[in-house]
Amino acid sequence: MLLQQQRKRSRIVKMADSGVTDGNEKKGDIERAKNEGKELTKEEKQRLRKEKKQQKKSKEKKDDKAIQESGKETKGDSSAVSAPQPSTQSTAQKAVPAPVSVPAPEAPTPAEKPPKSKAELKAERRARQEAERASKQSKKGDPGPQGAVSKSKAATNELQPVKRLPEHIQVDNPDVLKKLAKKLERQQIPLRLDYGYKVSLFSHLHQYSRKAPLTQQLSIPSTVIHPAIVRLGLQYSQGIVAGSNARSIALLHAFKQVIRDYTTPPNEELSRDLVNRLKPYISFLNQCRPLSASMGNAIKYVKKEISNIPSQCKEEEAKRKLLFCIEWYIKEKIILAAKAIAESSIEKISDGDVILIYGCSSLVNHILCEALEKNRKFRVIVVDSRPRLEGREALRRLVQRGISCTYVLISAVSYILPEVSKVFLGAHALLANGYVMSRVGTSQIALVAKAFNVPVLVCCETYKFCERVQTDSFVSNELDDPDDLIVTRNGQTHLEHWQQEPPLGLLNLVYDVTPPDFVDLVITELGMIPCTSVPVVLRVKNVDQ
Amino acid sequence: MRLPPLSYRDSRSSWTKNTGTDTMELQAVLMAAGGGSRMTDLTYNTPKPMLPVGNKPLMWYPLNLLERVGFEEVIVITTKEVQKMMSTDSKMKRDIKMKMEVVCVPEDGDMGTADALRHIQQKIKTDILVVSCDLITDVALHEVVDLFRAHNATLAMLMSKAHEFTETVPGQKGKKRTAEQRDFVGVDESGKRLLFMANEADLEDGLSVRKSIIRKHPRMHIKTGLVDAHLYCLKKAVVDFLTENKSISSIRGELVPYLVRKQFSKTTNSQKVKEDLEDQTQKKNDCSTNHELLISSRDEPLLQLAQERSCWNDHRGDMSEAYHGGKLRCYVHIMEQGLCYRVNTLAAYIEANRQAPKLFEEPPVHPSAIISERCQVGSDSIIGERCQIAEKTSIKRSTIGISSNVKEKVKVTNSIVMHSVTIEEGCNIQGSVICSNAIIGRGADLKYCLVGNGQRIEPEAPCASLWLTQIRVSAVCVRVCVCVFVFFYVCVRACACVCVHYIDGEVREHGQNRTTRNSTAAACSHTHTHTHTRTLLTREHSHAPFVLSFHTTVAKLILSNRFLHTKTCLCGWNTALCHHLFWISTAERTNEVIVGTDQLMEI
Repeated sequence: MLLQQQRKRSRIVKMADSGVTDGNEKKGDIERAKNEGKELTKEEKQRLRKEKKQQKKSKEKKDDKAIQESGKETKGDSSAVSAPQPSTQSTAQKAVPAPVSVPAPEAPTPAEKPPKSKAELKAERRARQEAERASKQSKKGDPGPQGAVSKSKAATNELQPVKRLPEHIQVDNPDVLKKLAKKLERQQIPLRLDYGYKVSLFSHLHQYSRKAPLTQQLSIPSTVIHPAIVRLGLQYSQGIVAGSNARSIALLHAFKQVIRDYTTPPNEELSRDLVNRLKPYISFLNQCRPLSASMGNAIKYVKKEISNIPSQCKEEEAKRKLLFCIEWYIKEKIILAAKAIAESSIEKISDGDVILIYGCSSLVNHILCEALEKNRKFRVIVVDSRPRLEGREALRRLVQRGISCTYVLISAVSYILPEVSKVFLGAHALLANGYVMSRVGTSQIALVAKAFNVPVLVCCETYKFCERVQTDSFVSNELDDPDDLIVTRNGQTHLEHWQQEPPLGLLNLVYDVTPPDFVDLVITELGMIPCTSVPVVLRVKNVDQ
Repeated sequence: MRLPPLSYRDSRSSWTKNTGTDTMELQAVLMAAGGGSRMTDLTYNTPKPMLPVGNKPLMWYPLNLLERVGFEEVIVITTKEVQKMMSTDSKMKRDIKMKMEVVCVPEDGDMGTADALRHIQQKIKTDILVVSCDLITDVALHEVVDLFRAHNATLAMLMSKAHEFTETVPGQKGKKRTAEQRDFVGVDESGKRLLFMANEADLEDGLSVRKSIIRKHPRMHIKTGLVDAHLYCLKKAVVDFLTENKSISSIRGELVPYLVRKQFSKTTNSQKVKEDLEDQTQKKNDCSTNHELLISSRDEPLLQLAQERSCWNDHRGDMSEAYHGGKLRCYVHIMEQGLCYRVNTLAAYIEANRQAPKLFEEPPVHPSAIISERCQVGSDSIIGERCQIAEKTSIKRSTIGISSNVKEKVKVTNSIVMHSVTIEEGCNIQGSVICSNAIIGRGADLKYCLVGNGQRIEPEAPCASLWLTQIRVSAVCVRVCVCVFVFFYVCVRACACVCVHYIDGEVREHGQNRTTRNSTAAACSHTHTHTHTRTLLTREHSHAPFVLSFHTTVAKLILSNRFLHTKTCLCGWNTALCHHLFWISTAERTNEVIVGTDQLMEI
């Protein structure tokens, strides 16, 4: 929850970045934003210019919109459904100070439109209400000392939303680090120290060493953190549980154990206490390895379910309910979703197809195995890349099932592509602007496939959809242990003492983002949709919950 | 100690306490009932767990290790004797703040470590960490426990590179120690997964590795020169298994090899096949497999699902899933550097004493010790509480125990002096171990000696003046119960006279002083010597104390007197003595003995 909020805030920052001048207060914001968010990408700059033009046009409209600012934003989303093609951005949404739901930077603006129709007004009203609810919830979301702080600073907060970038992408800022350390100390979680020299563009991200696990600073019969969480954290950091589906399932499993072992202390309410109990666990896991989008969504769901438990509910009953909810989530959102996706994507696999896959996506593997069972005749090309060489595992699983496979490294992808008829890709997350976040290298494959005119299909469960917006792989990403890049060959280990060479930096990037232009189709359990429809799905989901 | 100090370690708001449940992650069990059968000379009066190492009882070290990493409770399995001593020992009370639950096991009963676990089975609620009381190490314990956690292992253990003990050991003549039987430890490529384990003693001809291991792990590294630290993380299921399966009595000897072997056996891996079998066969198998099934950690279906989705695999090169679908997994952490001693032999005991000061940050000289200004105490020495060190004394690389009294002009180097020892004026003690309550007479010159509990070394003066011009009471060692003293007195240039005096159990009752007096009186008779030597050597049940270091001429004399019989005569003896005498007897044939002894004297 907290994380989500922070993400929201970061979005707002970005919006502020895009340079709206909507009053003195906001001007200040933008100045600050410019100072702080120094690394504006090209795209962002371009957008900035466009928006300035736009603004002049919509100047007259501004007055009556000022009231409805917050409403507009969600409205922008709804229009995204009808017009998925990205266009200019609404002026109204940019200036929103309160954390509201989905922003749609690419949404078409209603600015030039004549006075609104009834339906539009209605939608606006609803959106406004929703925004209010969201802001209320966000306040509710962080009780405890943090909540108190935020309340006392409520007035100043509105002036400085810029400061609310998520801390995990501000590692180079000593103040933020200090704050993080304080927060962890309060939660009795040790701080994991960064490891080694970081490549300059990525100094704002954490980089940990696998050899220095967090457990070396914990007491051994772990008392602060539930053993299941400690185990999970270790498995995350050592890569034993990898891949966003596996990570989410393992997380939910651990939560189940925590809930099972939980008893409400006297004078406490289960719904409040349990959420507070989970918080340090989550920050522990986040330090073991930054949380994935899918895990963020799962955590959000669990927290919501916990807070939904009425206070008069008996403990046993409540626990049973929660365990059931978690079971349901895994079954519905992961297992059944995978089944549904497999069913619809099998339609896309025809006999004689040559399918290219990249890395080891559990979902894509599942689809291919299902397709084989449906007696489709196809061939698979597994593309792999260093340092993890996850493709080998995919290869093993497919060959074990009896699928005929070819294995190449990513450097040979342009050579192999002429014979490929379809590209199936897994995803780590689908972002609100339609970008696909996935294992590093995916974007390159999509690009080359586009060049060869091969259709690119991304398979992704909707629980991996994320409200974040990202247009590049720099701002928010994950750095893996740089030591993974070191190889020993024939008894020789090059790069062994890379830390002693000051000009040398090793970058082991985990994710990249693929622009929607390169993705032809996203296959979800709801059906096949274009990338740009992500906001719709997100909004529908929000309404559902 | 080398871990970063952290406030989180002793946090009070633990989830266990908040929730009030008994679920803990790990329970610590300290095995402190061992007799110390490989260092009987030291453990005769002091039980092994209470032997002082760096002026702390031996069992303080594993307890401290556990406390340091955050254990708040420990179950101590020990004997009544040790329990009594623990309750009086001030160090233990002051330094160990953990809650200790002491469980006594019958002293003389032949109880193995696994039996002891079975004994406390009721108290074991969760996975356990078993530590032996003789482990002194600075290992980062999380390395072992993390293996256990991350891989959901059934067993995780600690091993270390074997240390070469360079110091000369009193009682063990010759450079070669009795070669211990080597362990062969097979690990996978990562060096963590324990695949194979065999002891030299069990091998009849050659090392044979089962096909099922080779098939799954074609590249196995077999390591030797490792010492098992006797630190094990075990799943609760293993303890349950022990209660079912009564035939296993020792952890190291039987349980660990069994678990390692079982990793690759069919019963644990192909349960599905079992289920499909017909009812009848299943019933038959049930009895046998039930025991084994209990052991394999039960993965919940969800975890299995996560494992299936995860793109991680522990091996490459074949078509099977991670861990080969096995549910029983053993892991080992091998310490490449750092301290790790098992104090189960005299040599290890001496080495541990040398290294002990490095392990804790306490002032080497206890504030309550009275040390005169005009004496030299090396920074590598430890002086215990209430010690009195007189003037003109020099103490180097040594440990002086609690309430010991060192008089003037004493020189102590490379030695271990236990509690309440009195060292009179002008002694020279080098490379020796002096057990508690011993009294070293004036002007004694001890080199590489082991002086037993409560022994009294007579002042040099009377003996020397009576018999010899150049005499060395080289060593006196001890067992009070079968109190045999062997004294070699050497007359230089005079007709050789070797006196071996043998005092039986009855004599002991007359008291210490009388004993020594008797021995002195009797030592002059040559004939006497001869007969007694014979009895001495043929007594099979005797754990004879021995004299080890002696003048060159002594060796000659022993040889000329030929009182060494066949090897079989010696087999009932203390190993060290055996080795020593055997060495002489072999050397006799080659006439190298003089050279040999000379060298030894110089050490």
